[in-house]
Amino acid sequence: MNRFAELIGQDDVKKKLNFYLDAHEKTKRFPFLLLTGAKGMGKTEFAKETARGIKAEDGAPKAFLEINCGTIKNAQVFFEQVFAPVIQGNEITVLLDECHALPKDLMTVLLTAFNTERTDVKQVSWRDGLYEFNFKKQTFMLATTEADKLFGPLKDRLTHIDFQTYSHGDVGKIIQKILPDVSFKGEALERVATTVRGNARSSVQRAKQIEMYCDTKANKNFGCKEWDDLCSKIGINPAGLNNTEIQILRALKDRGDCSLNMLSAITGMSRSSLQRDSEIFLLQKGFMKIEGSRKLTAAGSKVLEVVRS
Amino acid sequence: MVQCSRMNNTTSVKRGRGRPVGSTSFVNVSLADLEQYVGTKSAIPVSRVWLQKMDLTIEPIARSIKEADSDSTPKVEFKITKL
Repeated sequence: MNRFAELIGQDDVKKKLNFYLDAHEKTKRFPFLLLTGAKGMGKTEFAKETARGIKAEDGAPKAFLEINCGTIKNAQVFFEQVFAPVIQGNEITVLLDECHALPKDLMTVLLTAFNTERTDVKQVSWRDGLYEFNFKKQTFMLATTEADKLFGPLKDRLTHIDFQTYSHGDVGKIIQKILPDVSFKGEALERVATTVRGNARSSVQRAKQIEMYCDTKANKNFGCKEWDDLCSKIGINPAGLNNTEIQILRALKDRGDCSLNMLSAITGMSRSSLQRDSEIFLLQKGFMKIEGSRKLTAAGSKVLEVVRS
Repeated sequence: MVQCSRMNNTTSVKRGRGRPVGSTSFVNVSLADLEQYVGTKSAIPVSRVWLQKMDLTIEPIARSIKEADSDSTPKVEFKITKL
């Protein structure tokens, strides 16, 4: 049974989640999942869809509680504001989103609570209170973009599910699904798909831009000519490159090999920001390579030729 | 207006470690100016030596300047969805 037919892509993720949901139907047990992947990969959507398959005693899906962990200052506020009033004693699926931002004391509490080798019920005392986790009633999932920042021992207690970037084919399907009335002509949809960096959320945003364009022109046919027009109007670059990345590629072309410090000086961005936000994408796409210094590749030269000046 | 101390004066004189000559830990402000900021019931730290000089015997209170009341207990953001 494929419970994720409504969601496009992430076939490996779907297989794993289907397996755990099948097991849950028989055993009422569900592992503590850790969903990891870059922003916009669909972690929250998949968590919510998974929650639909986690049934309460009456056969209906449990309620789904989504918590932004960046807003939990400490374990005390978690117990007072969320656990006691909403979770304890209730049948509920909990998603701890951006869990790398959990406060250390709460990570320690969860480390104790998630140790369920012997029992499904765990009592945790915190300050003056005694709180009960019942994992037959409550299911916990965690999601993060920065799994490396999660407390190691807690991470070891979790079952990891990692999300991959979306293929151009999947991106095309996402866009077409959002815009069923738009008729894409020729290679337009393929070309659109190359600009969203394999990201589902960006695909949705791009679909909205196309919808706005079609509404403005009162024309539901969208071909390469319309795509070129939209790109020039709102500044969409080939491969979805942003201006900093183009600046890096141009610097490498004009000056030859560069150090990270040099690129930092040219772009005005910090070294860490360049590495994290720009270089990884350029390396993934093969537009740049690092061999002692930063070098432009043939693919990088080629993409620069089609970038508007 | 409460004036800042000379410690904040970062003019050109080269400094070594420790307190610059002439800098002091305290500044003189008028009670009227201070009252605009902290109110008459606030606890204000004063030097014990100064109290002795003034020949004052006042029972100290536990807290120093009262911090702004934190009605700022951070709210946890969460959303419940019925599926």
